[in-house]
Amino acid sequence: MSANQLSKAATPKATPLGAAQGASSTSLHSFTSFQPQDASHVEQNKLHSVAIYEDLCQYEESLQRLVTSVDKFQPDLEAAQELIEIDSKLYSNLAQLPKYDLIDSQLKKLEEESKDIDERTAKILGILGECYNDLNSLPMVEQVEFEMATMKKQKDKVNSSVLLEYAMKLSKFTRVPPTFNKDAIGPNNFIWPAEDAIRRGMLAMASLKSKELTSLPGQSDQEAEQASAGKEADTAGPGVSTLEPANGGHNRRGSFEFTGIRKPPPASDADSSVVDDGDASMDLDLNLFNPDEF
Amino acid sequence: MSAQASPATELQNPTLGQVYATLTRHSAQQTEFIPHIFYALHQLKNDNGHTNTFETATSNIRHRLKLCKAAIAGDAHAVEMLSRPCDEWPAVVCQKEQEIEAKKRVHRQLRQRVEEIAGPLDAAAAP
Repeated sequence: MSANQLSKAATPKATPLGAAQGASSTSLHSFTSFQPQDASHVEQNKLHSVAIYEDLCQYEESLQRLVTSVDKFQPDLEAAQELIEIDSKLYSNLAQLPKYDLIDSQLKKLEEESKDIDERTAKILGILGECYNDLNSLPMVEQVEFEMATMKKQKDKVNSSVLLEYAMKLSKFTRVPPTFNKDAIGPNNFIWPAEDAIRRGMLAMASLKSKELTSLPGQSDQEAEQASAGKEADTAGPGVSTLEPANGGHNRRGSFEFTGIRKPPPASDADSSVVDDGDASMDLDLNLFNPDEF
Repeated sequence: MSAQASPATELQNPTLGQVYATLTRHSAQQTEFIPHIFYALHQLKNDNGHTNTFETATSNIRHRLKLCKAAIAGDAHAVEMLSRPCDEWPAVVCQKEQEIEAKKRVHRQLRQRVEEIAGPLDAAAAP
């Protein structure tokens, strides 16, 4: 018996005490740092807290004690009795394995369901994130309203080029208003000066004295004499008029007026007349309206 | 040794099934522990030549015990499950069911909210 007690004491036995010791050591170390050694301790503690595993360990130890005692021809009856008790305990725990298996299947089912829900949640969150980004990329309502109002204002205004083009199209098929007086002299809000202003201008005055302005210095004396002789003749009698009037105003060229009828070409140049005739006929067929000129 | 659980029971968990089968499924080669020990003792008693030892006769039992221990120690999930008493698990299962129900409730609320938002849009988009 004493030998058995010694062997009991010498055999490293995984008992709840040992587990408690391991637990105390891990709890002490848990405050400092978590190391792989601590992890193995935790696993060992967890393993020894399994009832069936503990029963198996005790079964092994009791059997070993019995074998040792029998092989030494000193059968340990206490070990045999303990073996029978542990066997009974082991099989009573073993009877709970179907319950554990049922719990395990329930847990697996719940875990799958939870995993499925988590995946759906992740998918939904992804879609919501995409929707959020899409909505953020869209313009705000105030901005859209402002842009629409601006565009509406721009539509109300008519562009001058559009208006001018439309007026040019209309002018082809319209005539001067009946109230418009063509003969009226004066500014009619034109961009060019009125006719009377043109007549009073320097060019008009210069055209009246074209001879004086364009004459050479030598010729001026002869002309002066001729002018004096003319004066004398005038003073001699009003009925005698042999000399041509020396007044340059009679040589003044009339202003150009467009009548739509061309002057006849000079007869000296026959070839050019043919060409000019052709041009005249072409001019008559010309479409005077050309919007690009405006 | 008394085989209280029926040997025909098949367990879904492979570790539990292996342990259960090793300890409860008996055959000519895999007999029950206590009868096997008694038979070994009986043989040893009748063995006059001392050719067999009790240790050799019970090696099969020790081997099966080690197999079961290794199977349990190698499966962390089984250890986690077996370390807690069987009576505590229904509460854990109930808690997990409540968590799943809470997640489902959140999904339902989200769906309802989306329908509330998308309903008028769908009605406006319909001709």
